[in-house]
Amino acid sequence: MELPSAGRTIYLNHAATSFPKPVEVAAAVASWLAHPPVDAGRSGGQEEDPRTPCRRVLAELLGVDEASRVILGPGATFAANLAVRGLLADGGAALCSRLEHNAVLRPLALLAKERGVRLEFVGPDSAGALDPRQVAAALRPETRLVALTHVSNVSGGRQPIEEVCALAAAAQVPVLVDASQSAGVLPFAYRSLPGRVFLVTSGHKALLGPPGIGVLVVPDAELPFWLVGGTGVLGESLEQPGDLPLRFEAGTPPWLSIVGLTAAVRTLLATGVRSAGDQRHALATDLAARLAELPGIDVVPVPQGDRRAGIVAFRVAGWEPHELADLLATAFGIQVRGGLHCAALAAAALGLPAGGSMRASVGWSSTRDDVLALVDALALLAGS
Amino acid sequence: MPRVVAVRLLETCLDLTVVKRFELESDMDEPAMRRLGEGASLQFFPTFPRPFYRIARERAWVAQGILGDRTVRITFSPCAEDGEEERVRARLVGTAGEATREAGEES
Repeated sequence: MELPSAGRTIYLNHAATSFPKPVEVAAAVASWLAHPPVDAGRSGGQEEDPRTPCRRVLAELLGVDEASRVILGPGATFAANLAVRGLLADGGAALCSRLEHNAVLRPLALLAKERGVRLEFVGPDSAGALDPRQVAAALRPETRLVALTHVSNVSGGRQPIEEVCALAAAAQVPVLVDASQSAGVLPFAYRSLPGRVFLVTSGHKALLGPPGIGVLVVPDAELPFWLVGGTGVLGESLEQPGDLPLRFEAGTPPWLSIVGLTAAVRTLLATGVRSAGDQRHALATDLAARLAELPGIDVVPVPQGDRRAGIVAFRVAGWEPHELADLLATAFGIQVRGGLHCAALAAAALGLPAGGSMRASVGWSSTRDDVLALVDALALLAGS
Repeated sequence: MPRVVAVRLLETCLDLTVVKRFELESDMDEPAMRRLGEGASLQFFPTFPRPFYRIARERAWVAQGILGDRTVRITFSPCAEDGEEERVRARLVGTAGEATREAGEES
């Protein structure tokens, strides 16, 4: 095995953030920095507001009919907070899968504490999937929100968002879908999800953009807002503009991240999400199969027949995940992640011990050699 | 005899486990590794691309790193007794006295 040099890292942590970014992203960010800022609507220029093409390409990628429904903010956590705090502004109950990330769980928990919102958790089953029948059984007249991740950031297991959205739509309950691990990986269309769906995603994971940007897709302009401020238009009014998307975009936008994300999504559209997903699925499936053959390694299952979105979670006997992640990084130059992955309820529901799991996640820059390097490293450890 | 020149806090977990990085004045060598491993469980992987060691002292700490590097990652158990960090420093240096006279340390 080759000694990893200082500049060479085998990067298998794409579920945390994509690396490297496409060269088009760096070029777009550098170009923005090198030119006078375009602040459309605020300085009277004739340049297009950089948010407009960003919304346009995101709408195309995510299957959103109206680009104005694509809200841009500083991150998926911010986007989730917008939705959760807005939908539960008057209290009520929320139905939430145990697979959620803290970006969704913590706003819910805070509202439970502050406003008495009643939280009810559902799923997953032993294979890591939520059974829609659990959701159907748990819906109550006072339920104001159903929250469900599309793909678990712990196990990589895909969840039945179409079925859950249909059930919630029948009960006239909005759904918050966290697509942070699926956008740019699994081909799906927001417009095909029935009911009143709020979709959240991160810009810096499989969408390949820089950090500092997240997306909230809203079905209408009815969501109460709680962050107000400058928008560059209607400055004479002391009230926040009510129209989409500015209703939810107070303050200086994260311009660098916006232009970077626009460039990134354009590269994805050129490649095609299906093609990007096929590559991840093939590598992750191969990795999971090879790891399962090694002694002392337990691969966390995904729902039977599931299409792997690029994540493979596993445990290695005798090693705490954070210690093993350090070993792989320092001794082999392989970056993976160990721990709870900001989703402690998911770890517990999947039967993982307190230390959580190892998570290897492939992405657009991953190769078969990367996968084999990880397998070889763990085989060497198992044989030592 | 690698002296500890700085200690960086990497993480404090909810269960009060604390992860720190010890920065050494000189490379971690095999005698220091063996010394740290006395009375503890030492795993050494010399055939890895970079030689890795892991030393676990039950209910106290786990130290791990690369032989030849100037850092050691140490996870202190919530069960660790008071003064355990000082004892680790003393083991690294080989004399208990020197470990407490470091200049410019951070913790």
